[in-house]
Amino acid sequence: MKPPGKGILGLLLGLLTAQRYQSDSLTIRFYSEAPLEKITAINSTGCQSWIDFSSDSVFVQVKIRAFSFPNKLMQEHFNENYLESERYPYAYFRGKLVTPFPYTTPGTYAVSAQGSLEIHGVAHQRVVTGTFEVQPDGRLRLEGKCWVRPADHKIKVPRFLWQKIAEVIEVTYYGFYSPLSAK
Amino acid sequence: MDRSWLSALSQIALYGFLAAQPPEPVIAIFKGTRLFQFHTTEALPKKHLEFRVAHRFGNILEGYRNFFGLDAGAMVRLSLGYGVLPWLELGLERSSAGKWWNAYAKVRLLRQSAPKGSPLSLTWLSAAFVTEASDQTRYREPLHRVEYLHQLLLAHKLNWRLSGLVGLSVLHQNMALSPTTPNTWLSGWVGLRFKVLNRLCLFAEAAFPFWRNQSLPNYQLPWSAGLEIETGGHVFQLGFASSEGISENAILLNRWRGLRAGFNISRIFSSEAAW
Repeated sequence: MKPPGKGILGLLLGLLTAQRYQSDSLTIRFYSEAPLEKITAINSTGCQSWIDFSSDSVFVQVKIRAFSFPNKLMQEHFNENYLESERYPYAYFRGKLVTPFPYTTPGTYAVSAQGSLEIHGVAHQRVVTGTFEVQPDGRLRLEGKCWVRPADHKIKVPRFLWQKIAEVIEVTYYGFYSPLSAK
Repeated sequence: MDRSWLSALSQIALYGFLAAQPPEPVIAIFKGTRLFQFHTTEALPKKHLEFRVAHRFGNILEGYRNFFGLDAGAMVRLSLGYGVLPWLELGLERSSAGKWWNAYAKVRLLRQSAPKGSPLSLTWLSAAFVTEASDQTRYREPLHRVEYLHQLLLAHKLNWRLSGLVGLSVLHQNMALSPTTPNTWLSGWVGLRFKVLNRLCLFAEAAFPFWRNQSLPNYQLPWSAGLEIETGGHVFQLGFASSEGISENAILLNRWRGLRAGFNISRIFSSEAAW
């Protein structure tokens, strides 16, 4: 007698995992504009994200060390003095989609997610927004922007540097999500 | 159907996967390329230029008579360094004391990595010194004016506060200090950096010679200590040094009894294009 489990289990697993999407080239940039200095950094290797449409949960993990600055001294200070990446190596977003969207129907959808944004070990409740473009091949293209206030995450900027570091940092993100295939 | 347990489970699996991160170089073992008098294991990143000014005032121990050394004027050392490759820095310096010109090459051999990997950072420094001093009795030929210094520097960052440094150096003088002293000197160097706040550190360094006392009469142990303030673009180091000279070759063979106040200012410029 053949055990009936395997095929059904596989099917079930396939159904469940088909609702999970994983980012494959997520890039995060930030831009700080202050009277004396404009600073841009880009992170294209340290961002990972998952969306589980069965529970509408979103998870993003960003490696702080992977932010690359043209000025390596700034990069060192970013890690050592501001984000303290040895103690807090990652930033996280854990949330839920506020407005579920038909993620299998090609089209462009404005999406927002609510949850906790944890940077520098300090979580802050946020709603972040973006647009998802469902591609004909089933992938999702994300594009979005949000603003982060260093003070919300206890990132201290010395008073004498106020002309060099913005009070609100513009964070943009873009990349693709692909469905996780059942194996 | 509530499948939140599933997403919780998948997140646990996810964390397990993410926990296996490759080792990465430990950054900022020291804030600058020098602790105060001597090099650290840090070298400039590629395409970054450092301009450094060092000042040492007169002998504090002379007291108020010379306003703790400030009346004496200052010895100055100007340094330029450039990161040619990620592991190679070249530099040129001029020290007013002894009228020494010197060029150096600094090579990163190994970097401390975490969570696994090398526990030490290893840097090699080679420098050649030429003096312009008009000492006709000591320097009868041009090559007599040349000295070489080679150093192997080992450093370890214990935690975000504390970093330690051990250096081994070979100094060769083409012309010895006197007919009875050797031309080649072996010595070691230890340094410590303690971070009080993110932008404020304390440092101390001292040499330990590998020669017997009689080979260098009146030798005085060179050491320095002070504090380091980083203000974003600049690093200021304020400290006390027990040596007469301001260049490494002179400091290592210190025969002066005194104490100087002094400061270093370092500014690093990036020539990497913005994106």
